Amino acid sequence: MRIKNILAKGCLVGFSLMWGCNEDILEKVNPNDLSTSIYYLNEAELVTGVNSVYAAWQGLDLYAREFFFLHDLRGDDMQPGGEQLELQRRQLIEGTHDSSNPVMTSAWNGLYRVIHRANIVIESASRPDVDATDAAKNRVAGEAKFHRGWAYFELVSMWGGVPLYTAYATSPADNKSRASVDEVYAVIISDLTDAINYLPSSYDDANLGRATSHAARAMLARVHMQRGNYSEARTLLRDIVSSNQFKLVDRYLDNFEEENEFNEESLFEVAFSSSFGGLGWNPSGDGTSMEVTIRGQEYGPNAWRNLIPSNGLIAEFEDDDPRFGDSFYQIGDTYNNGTEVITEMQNADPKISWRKYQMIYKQPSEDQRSGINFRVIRYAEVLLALAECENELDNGQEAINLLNEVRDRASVQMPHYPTPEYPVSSKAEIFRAIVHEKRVELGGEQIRNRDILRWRAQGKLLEEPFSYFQAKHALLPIPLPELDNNTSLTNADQNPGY
Amino acid sequence: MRKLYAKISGQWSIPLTNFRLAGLVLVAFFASAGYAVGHPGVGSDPMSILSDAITVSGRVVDDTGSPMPGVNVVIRGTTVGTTTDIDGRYSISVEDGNAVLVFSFIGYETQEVTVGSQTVIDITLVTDIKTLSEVVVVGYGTQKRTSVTGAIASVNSKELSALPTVSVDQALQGRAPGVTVVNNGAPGSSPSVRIRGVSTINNANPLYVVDGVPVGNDANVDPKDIQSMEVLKDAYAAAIYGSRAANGVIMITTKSGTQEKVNVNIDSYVGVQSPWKKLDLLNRDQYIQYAGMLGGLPPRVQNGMNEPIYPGATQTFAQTETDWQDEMFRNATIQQHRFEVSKGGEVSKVYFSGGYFDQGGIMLGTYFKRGNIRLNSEHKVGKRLTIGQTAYVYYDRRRNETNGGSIGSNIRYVIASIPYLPVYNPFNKGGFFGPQGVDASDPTQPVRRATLVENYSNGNGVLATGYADLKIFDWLSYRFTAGVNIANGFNSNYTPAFDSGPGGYDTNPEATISQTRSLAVDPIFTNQLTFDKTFGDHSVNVVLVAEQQSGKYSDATASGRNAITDAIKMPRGVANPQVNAGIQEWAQISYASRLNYEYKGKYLFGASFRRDGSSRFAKENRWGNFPAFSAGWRISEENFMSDLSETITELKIRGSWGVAGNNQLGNYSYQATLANDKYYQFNKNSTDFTQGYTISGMANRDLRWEEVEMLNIGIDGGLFGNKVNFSVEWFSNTTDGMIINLPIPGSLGYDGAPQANAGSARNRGFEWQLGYSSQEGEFRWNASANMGIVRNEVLSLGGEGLSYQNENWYGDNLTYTIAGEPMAFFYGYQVEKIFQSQEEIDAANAIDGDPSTKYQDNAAPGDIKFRDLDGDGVITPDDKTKIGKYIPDFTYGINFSGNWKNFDFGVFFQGVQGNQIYSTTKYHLEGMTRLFNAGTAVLNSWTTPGQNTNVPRAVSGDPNLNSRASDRFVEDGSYLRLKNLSIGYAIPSEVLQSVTNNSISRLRVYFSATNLLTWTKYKSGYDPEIGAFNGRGAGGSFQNGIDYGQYPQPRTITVGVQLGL
Repeated sequence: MRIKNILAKGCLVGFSLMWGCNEDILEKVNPNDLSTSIYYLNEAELVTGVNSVYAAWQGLDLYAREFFFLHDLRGDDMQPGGEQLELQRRQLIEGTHDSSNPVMTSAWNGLYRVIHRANIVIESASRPDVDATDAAKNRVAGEAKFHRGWAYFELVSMWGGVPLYTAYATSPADNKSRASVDEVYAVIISDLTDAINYLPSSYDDANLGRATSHAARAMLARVHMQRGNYSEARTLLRDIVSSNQFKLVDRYLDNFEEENEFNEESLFEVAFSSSFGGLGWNPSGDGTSMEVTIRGQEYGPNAWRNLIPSNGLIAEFEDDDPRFGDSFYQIGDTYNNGTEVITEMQNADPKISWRKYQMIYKQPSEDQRSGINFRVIRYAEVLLALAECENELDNGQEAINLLNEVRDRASVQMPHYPTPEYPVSSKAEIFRAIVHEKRVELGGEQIRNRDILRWRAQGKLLEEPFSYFQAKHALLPIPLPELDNNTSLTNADQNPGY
Repeated sequence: MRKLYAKISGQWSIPLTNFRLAGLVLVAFFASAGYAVGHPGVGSDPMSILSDAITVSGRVVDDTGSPMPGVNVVIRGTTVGTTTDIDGRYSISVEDGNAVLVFSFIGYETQEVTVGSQTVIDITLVTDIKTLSEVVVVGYGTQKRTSVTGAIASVNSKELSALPTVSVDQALQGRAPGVTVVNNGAPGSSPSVRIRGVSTINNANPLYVVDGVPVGNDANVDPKDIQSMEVLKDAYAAAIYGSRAANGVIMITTKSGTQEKVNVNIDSYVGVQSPWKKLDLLNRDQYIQYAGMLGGLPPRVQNGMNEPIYPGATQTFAQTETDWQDEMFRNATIQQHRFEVSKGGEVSKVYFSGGYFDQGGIMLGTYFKRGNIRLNSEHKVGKRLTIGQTAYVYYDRRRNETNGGSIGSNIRYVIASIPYLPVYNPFNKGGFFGPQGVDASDPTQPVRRATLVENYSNGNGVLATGYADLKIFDWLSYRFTAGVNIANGFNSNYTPAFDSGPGGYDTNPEATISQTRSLAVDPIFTNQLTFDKTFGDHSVNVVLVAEQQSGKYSDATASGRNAITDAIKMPRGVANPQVNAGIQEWAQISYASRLNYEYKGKYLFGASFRRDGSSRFAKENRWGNFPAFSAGWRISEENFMSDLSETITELKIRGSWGVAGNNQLGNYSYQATLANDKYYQFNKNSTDFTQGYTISGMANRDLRWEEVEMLNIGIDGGLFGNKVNFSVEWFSNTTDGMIINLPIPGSLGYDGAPQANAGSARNRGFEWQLGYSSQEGEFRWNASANMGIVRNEVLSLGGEGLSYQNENWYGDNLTYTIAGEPMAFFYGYQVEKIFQSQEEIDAANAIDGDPSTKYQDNAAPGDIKFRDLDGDGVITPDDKTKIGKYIPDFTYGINFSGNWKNFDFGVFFQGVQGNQIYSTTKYHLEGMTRLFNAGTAVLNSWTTPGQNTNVPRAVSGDPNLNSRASDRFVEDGSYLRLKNLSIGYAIPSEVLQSVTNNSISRLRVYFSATNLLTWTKYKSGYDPEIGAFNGRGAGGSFQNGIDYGQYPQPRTITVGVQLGL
């Protein structure tokens, strides 16, 4: 029958067609993001690679929040502003933290994020097929090494020997066990030395904020001082001074306000800007919502006031030191361009709060978007560090001169050493003056924590600042998630006492 | 067995041209082949007229009072009979009063009536749930219930439409054993649905299939459009959807026209929803007392209470007492209005419906609205060709709860808000009062946030299919289906500028605006051959399927800030305009086959095999093979059982084994790409940024299908003429190659953990279902109960000692996932007691022999002593342990329903047992870490030695960490809920006819109450039903059971009317 024939044929055709899907449709390439196999091939692409390293410092794990907290909570410049200080922060300031402390874990993750991104750039810049001049490759790699050296320095000074990665991981199995402290320092010194050699001493306006050779020198000087190598540090610091590129700005507060970023005193800053919106609460600095820091909201006199200046720091100031009023707000001070007066501060006494890095000097209240750059290294620190080196190397008079140079700032104008309170007739007395000057000049700038660690380790601490201190507190514990998930580490690798 | 099928992995397919085209051409070919268009047979109903007869007449209606045409009315023991007419009327002559009339209609319980002296016999036929489900929908076909060898739970339309719910999954709660549904709160939010436990850390949501179209993890369907819903639970039932069936499949079949006559139904209800629980919070005076206990009165309390609440106000703070619960919670309306028009028949069946649903939120600033239209039709184009379509069009709009169910939820701030502060301040930008420095406490003002923050989700879309079904021979048919699911999304988020006055916390200096528009278009094309033939005692059914589905999703977000005005809510003319857009595509090709074989209707055998290729895997790992086998034995059909047939009507034992897959992961997960969103400012004024690129996610090209091996054994039975029916299942599902984000150490520096097939997990359990139906005179009722028991265990996370710790809560991770334990159990310390004295603390410090090493740092009398589980005399993280789990021991549902005369009623209970809740609400109520408002329990905090209390001392800053993650905040999450109670009354048809002059054939009014009563030990939150706040997403498995301030389920009272024309 005809119909049956048609049916049979149709059936056959249909049946065979059923099994013939075009498998090409299963090949879908991500149209939104570049494949890793076709990138970092020229100078512009390498530069974007190193840009991401800078961006990592902006994350919530680092300068947007946890990094300044970690330093401030481990130093003695700060005390809790009241009971609103969250538990994990209180643990650190009271020395009751354990390996699960998330503030510390965040900073750890953030620092390794910097290292990972830097490793990608360093590795890519070394590839012969990259279309860029050697000078360009070296500069970009130099910037990356500045960051990698800095990040490892933060890690080794706070945690001791840590897992050391000089190439970026491509599989979870690439994790590393703890290297020795010396091994980590070797990488740091090598990195920062390369950075000094390959980085320019300054940039044009479009590249302002990139790491310079001077920033690398200052960072390496910090490293040498931490290891007790004051001679090497002095050489580097003297190079910075003799470059005549830097000077103390007249107005102390210019170092902590938004209008005077990248001024002549500044060697390196982590940039923030409130032009792009509020805080994105993102640990890694992704997107345009992580261009601000929450520091204003955390510390502000009419904001959360989570940390306030410690009584010790307040007492450290000499009478009439103008830096006291420049560092702190008190009841009765004006803010918002002088239009409003502080009448109350919540919670704990003293009713004194940080003014450094606060936004209310020009706005009615703090919020979660401070755009003030963090001055990571400024010239005052270089001078004071040099003073310490000179004193350590028995060049006391030069140290005193440097201290006095800092006190000569136009807006400071403090009497020269010796003062009745701070005689400088011996190495020990000069050291005491250095400790004092450093503390009041650089208070709340994430310097003090490392100074305490250094002086304690070198037996120079005038007195132990922390009543809680036990031997274990010299180092932070390796974060629990790292111990759990790094297959090269076991609980036996934990720092003693944790 | 597994090795065997793994070998069948060669290239099966012959790449030919576009196969969609092929299907269409084929259909057109047959359609144009000129089959005679036959007329539908008009059946003649010979009515026997006998002498000396009694004529009996009457009317047959269904249990909603609707007239039933076409009901068979037969005199028992004869072939004499008639059928009812379009109005349900019949007339029949019987020989004498001894005659027994049998009324039967498919899908309804057959009724027998002895005529006696009656001449008018009106009958109400009751839906027969058992017979309705005699035919069940399985993947790519239907099957007789008695022949089913897989684990399939059916839920009928009546059960699905009993509750005033917006979504099918909400309606499913408690209806099917082994299906756990946890509501997620606010109107319009999707509940979490898990079938037979949690199979994976990855996406554990079931696959929804609507009218044959797999639509993903969510079905946008009006529940009242649904004819039947089948939950495919075991490998054999689900494996035909093998590729995505690992978490079970929910198949939805929408209605079609049934009755010859045009049938119009109107269904409307209105109701009120109300909050049903209030927490015991401190009032103003108690708050001030508590502030004193905690460490000092705030400056305002000390010297500002007599000031006006704002300049010029006559009210002072001392005269203010705000009940923030009353401010945030309210009664809200709910309503749905629907019409259905349907017509059945031999040639064409049409079903058309439209509805509007509107649910207000019992919490300020939330609602959901939806309008929807459905058109389903089917037409016989010839003797052999049937074509049909389904189409659903919807528009919905939801106002979302800001930070719903997350750490900063509204409920948290309802608890924390200060009672002496007012809600409003007209002098502040935005109009609301906000806490200020002098209050020494800074809770987010919940009324301001709920009012000012406008977060809307708007969606509209179409789910449509067209199909052609060609009966090539009586035993062979070919079906081509083309479908498309189109979804448009338009989400907006707008916050105007606001402030809290000088020294005020929480300000928004300028309006922030964000809008996202998205479009998803997912087409599907299915070719199917069905072979169905019985040779003597042998019945064979074979299905062959080739299917291609793909999807393309695009979206664009524009955002910015506007400091000039709050009046423009568009991202237009904004200060830093930003845009982000992207496209994602996926595709899948599937070949499926199934064989069902039956011998003598008692020995059942089934085998299926499916092979899928997914674009989400690299070429070398793209194809997955998913076999399944099953067998069944209908013992009741055996001769040796015939003596027992009065008692055991139906008894079947069945078993199945198979493998199902899961590819619900990112579309491009295996491709290594650069992240390009690392911005930084390299210029002086920082008003422009530079882009940074890096590799922030680790890719894994070796990703392959996640597989679940499923084993199921079941027994189905019916007793006493199926008056009692039961079903018992045992299952064991093992997930292998679980796609997980490998927990990688922070030192690797990556933000995104690589996905890998690393873990395995097992879910084992029992399910049972029991039903009973009874008819005594005019009282008919049935009862049913179901229960699902499941034990979840993670077998491996891919490496020794690997773990997941999630849900960071003030420094503690609340959930922990590790091999050997259920997924994401609660983790923390155990409370031992409260230290009553310094001596007790000294003694604890000396446990390790050295009094200088503290048991707990900073412990003082009145602090909690946590349990030293490792016995080292110091409380360390090693003393943390399992303190609860969110997965219940069992879930259950109990249903009673019945009819008496024109009344009908239903009672439905639903519950879960043996789960715990980690209550962060309790943390806010009793944690006392810093000054916020709290629960009245803090007034009972420890003050004096020997005090009998479980609340530690009130101390600012919580130095002893009394509020650390511990069993103090873990509560029993079991509950039993009277989910629904309904009573309906159908106006008698005689009354209706006389009053409405026959224009209305049916009128039923009903009253329904939902969530009327809840029995639970969970005290510290509003509702024991705690979902996961991003329930649909991957990662949801870690977040369940933590009460972050979950939006509570409302108590809903509705009245409704159903009208038939």
